[in-house]
Amino acid sequence: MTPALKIDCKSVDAELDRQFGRPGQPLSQLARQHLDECERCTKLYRYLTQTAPDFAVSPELQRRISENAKRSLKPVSRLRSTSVRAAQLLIVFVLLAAAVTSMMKILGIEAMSPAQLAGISAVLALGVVLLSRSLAWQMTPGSMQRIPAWTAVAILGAGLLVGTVVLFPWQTPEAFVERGWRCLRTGLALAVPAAILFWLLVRRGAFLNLTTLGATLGAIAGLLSVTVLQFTCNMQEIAHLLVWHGGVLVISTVAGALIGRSAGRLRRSHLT
Amino acid sequence: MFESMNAGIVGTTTRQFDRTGESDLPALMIGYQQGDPEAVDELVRRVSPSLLRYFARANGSGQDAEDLLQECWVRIHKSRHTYQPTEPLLPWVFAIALHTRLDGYRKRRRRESKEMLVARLPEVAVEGAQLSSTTEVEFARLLEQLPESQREVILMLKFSDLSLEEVARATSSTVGSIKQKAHRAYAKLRQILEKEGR
Repeated sequence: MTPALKIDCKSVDAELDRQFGRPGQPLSQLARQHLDECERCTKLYRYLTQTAPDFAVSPELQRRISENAKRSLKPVSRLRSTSVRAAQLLIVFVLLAAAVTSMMKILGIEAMSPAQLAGISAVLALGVVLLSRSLAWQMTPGSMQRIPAWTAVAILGAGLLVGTVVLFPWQTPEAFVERGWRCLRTGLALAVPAAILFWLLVRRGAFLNLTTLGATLGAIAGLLSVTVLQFTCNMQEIAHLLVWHGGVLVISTVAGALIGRSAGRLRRSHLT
Repeated sequence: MFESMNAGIVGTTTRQFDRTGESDLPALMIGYQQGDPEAVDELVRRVSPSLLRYFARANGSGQDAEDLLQECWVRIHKSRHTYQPTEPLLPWVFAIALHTRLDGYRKRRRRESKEMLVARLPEVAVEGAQLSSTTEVEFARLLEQLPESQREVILMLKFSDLSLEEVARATSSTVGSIKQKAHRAYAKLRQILEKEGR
């Protein structure tokens, strides 16, 4: 294939992009010329734009569907807008994190320099904004998810990794396992009720992919634990933060995804 | 040459879903949310053909399409409070349809892996679900050769009559990602057509 032909074939691709969902638009001059010359593209264009026959849904089937729906038909209160739902999740996160932190000693804040405190707080804030937005999007099928859920989780993970490496020093860990294990246990013990609370907040949503929902709920609950640990733990060095604090986030995200996956299987088994 | 052929393709192509009457679909959905039985009847009448076509084409046969259609409406009913009037209705409906189909497919696959095939029963086709022309049979065969993610995008674009943005909404993806999958699918289809000397 010559490069020129390749460019022309792409003009047909662009034409198809334009035609889907907006049928009957006139073809561009470039695409028209190319379709006259390229048999392959002509076939492809024909396959993709040709009318598919209409499907008759029998009146009996339509009646059955309508009757089924009408049997439990009553007015429903609509979900609030995505922004309001995201703001609610964000507020609950901040209040919960503040409440738990205030009940513990704020040794972490005392141990961090102002730059470290500002930097890691910015990363944590970005994470909670992303995850609450993602959960709010997932509640409504067909919403425009500008950042897909798994991308949001990946951005959070990468942000925490980079933020920790850039902001905190590498020191020889002291009682690495013993102290770390304590942080991990505290973090996970906090993540479980947090995940349940966030689930209660979003349960009215129509979640289509329960694995993704589970992972996002696990991630936001894990992030809450990481936030509390960050402000209350005085071991502010890379290895401890990545292994033990980061471990809480990883475990809660993976556990959430696995629980979601099992719930998805259970739902499928009830499929009529 | 293409002038006349183009007229043949585009001229008769009113495309599958009658989008001229689409603007009042959100109003019907709001009626459904408010408990209006007439809105339910009208919405079922208007949206079901498009959903049935999608299920029948995506499954390769019409056998389960009617079951999936009913299951999809059950889910639409349960999720009706999540529809936002400011958002387009079709991506909301097809997002539910997509997951109904995927769940049905996974359940069927698990069931089939546990069952021992004794005899193949004749397929019961939905009225109108048969591939009506040679071109459609050829196209269905071509689609089978695409990877699942690309096939899903092409199915939604062609048989659900959604735009790239609407498919992105229905699949919880981004427009860029859908465009990329569609373009890869076009390239792959061209390759197959070339290999087969069509």
